[in-house]
Amino acid sequence: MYTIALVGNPNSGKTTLFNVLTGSNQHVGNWPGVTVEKKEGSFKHKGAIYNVVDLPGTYSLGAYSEDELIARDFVIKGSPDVVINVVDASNIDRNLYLTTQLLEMGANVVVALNMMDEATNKKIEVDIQELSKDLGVPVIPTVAAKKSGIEDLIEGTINAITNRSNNVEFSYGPSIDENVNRIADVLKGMGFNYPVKWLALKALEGDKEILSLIDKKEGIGDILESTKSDGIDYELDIVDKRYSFINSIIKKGVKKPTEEIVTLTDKIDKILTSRLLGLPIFGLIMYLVFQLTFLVGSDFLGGYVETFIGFIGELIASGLESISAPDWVISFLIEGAIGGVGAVLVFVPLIMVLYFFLAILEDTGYMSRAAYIMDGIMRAVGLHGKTFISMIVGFGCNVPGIMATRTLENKKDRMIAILINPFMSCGARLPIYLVFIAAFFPDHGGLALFIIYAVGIAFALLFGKIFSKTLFKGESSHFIMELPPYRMPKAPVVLRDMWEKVWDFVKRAGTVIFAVVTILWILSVFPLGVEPYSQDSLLGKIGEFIAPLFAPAGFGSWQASVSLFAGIAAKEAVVAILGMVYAGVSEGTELVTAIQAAFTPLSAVSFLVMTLLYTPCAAVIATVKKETNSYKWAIFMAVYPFILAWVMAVLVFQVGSLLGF
Amino acid sequence: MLINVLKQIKEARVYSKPLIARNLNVSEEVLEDMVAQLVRMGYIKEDLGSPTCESKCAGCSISSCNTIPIKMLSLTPKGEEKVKLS
Repeated sequence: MYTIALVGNPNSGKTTLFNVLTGSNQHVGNWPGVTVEKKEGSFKHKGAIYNVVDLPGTYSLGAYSEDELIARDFVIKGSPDVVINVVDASNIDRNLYLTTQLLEMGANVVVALNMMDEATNKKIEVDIQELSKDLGVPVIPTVAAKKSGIEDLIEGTINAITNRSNNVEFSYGPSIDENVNRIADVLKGMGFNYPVKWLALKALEGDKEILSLIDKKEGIGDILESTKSDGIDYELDIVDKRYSFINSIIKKGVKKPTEEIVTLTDKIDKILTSRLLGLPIFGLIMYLVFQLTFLVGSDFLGGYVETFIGFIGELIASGLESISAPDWVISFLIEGAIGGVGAVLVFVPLIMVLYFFLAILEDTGYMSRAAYIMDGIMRAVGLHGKTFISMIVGFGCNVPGIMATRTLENKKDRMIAILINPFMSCGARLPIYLVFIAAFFPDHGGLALFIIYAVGIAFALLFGKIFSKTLFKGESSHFIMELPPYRMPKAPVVLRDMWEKVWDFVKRAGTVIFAVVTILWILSVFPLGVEPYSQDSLLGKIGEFIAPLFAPAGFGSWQASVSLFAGIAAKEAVVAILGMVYAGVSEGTELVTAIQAAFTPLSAVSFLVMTLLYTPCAAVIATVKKETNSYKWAIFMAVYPFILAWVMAVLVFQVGSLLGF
Repeated sequence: MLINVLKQIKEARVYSKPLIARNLNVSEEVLEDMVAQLVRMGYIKEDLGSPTCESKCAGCSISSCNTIPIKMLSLTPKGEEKVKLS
């Protein structure tokens, strides 16, 4: 019985070929000592039985992964009669690295040039004879999925068993060749199961598995030691030679359609990422996104959720009254739960539309460009360009935004990125902005929202600059960003992305916000006997205690104060509490009317500045503690934005008042 | 070839596969493979700007907040040293 091993890159059609060759004669087990699946099968041809082993899909035969080790160990120690190297013809350039390594190992290789149909579709022409000549092994075109070329492959493979043809002699340059031969000469006769030249090559490449096998052998250690001082980077140079070999083969035997020298992406990028126009265009795009958000989310969709929540509220209230439920139950459910959580949920349409447009920008590839444009600005103010990636993530939620700073290797860069991230307006702050915009700036919603986000970025840059000049000095490392080609956004991707974010928002409203609302509702009805949601309740007393602090900023009411206080638990709670504490008022337009009565346009702006900049939520502070492993920085994170926000809010209100607003 | 990839990554403003592949006279697929090799060999660091969490994304309440896969490449100290010596 003969053994045939199947080796190939993942997705090269290797397993399909295995199934075609073996049909139902196959069984699955595990490779010894590991959990990697081992598939074996057999087929009969002209009376002889051929055992086929499907090796794990791998891109190379180094020692970087379990799959690579299993594949290469079997090719060498398993002594297969033939190794069928399944190569994806439509992606031949990438697949030939593995082929090159198999040839180096001296394996008896037959190349199954698979997926020829896809290669043809991509207008890739492969000169089979030329390829076979250059590789020094048979190359047989197949389409395993259509069972095409299988007979030829079987014949070619059986023929290779008796007529071995791997005769390619690799040269890695005089110095490397010389050392390969020196080591191979020493290894000869030591009884290894491996080809000695391959062992020598892998040892020079620094392959840990091979080194552990041979470097204790007499004479080997000295040769390897002597190579360390000859100025050659063996690992890099050997891999480099493989690519040169592949490149020369591709140039001779593979024809691809001529790619445009200047692609459409290049043309678009010339404008969208230009030094002069890039930033204004980015600003304009974001402005349009916010405008469209208000147009679609507020004008077209705005009323439905509000009406629905109102309807549910009335339904529950009448149901509870009909069963003579206690007053406190009605109060909790209607004013607390529905009034509070509902106040947050009415903004779902707007949030949904905003995330829809942002998802489109992401899916087209524009967000990479935005990060690239901002990268230049970040560097100009002394920040690491990667900081903006964590800032973009922070627009969704500051917790992953801060966690995304882990990609910054330098502690200085990372600390700055962490400390400025909360200035990015997370999704939880959106309802605050939206309710105040609806109350005071309904005709300029998009512009107002754009300004709020832009002010947040401006403060992040300003404080990044300040921190890089004071607390964290030092140089930032260089990196480059990939700009993927532009593509048409795909509806399923965009909708899924939008849905995930909106669902997160709804889930938080139903869990975290509900919990916060419950606690604050209890505080608002105790001590028993006081008017619920009044200044005499515990909540009112807390608000009253804090309120003088905010009086210079123009919103010194106990309701506003207590909502800001609740916002430290979770930012959505600000609107939820406003919805609850304006007793009798709940969500949507009623809350908007109540806010119009409680604030002036100037104090509303001041309140927005406060909520944009002040202490991030408890989850963010806890994340800062975890990421910096320091209570000091967690406290700093809680305190410095509060002081900054208070100063800015007071400035806005006092200067605005002086100017007569 | 590989040293030129390192140099391009050190000097380029962006990682544009078509552009760098053209500069190096290789196909985009070979370039992609060479970059993957250089990452594995420790000359290049590649990241997606994502939080590197201990926990898996499934079941995480904030998993959907990070969906912008922006690939970034930088030379490691080993890569920097190689370019410096070349």
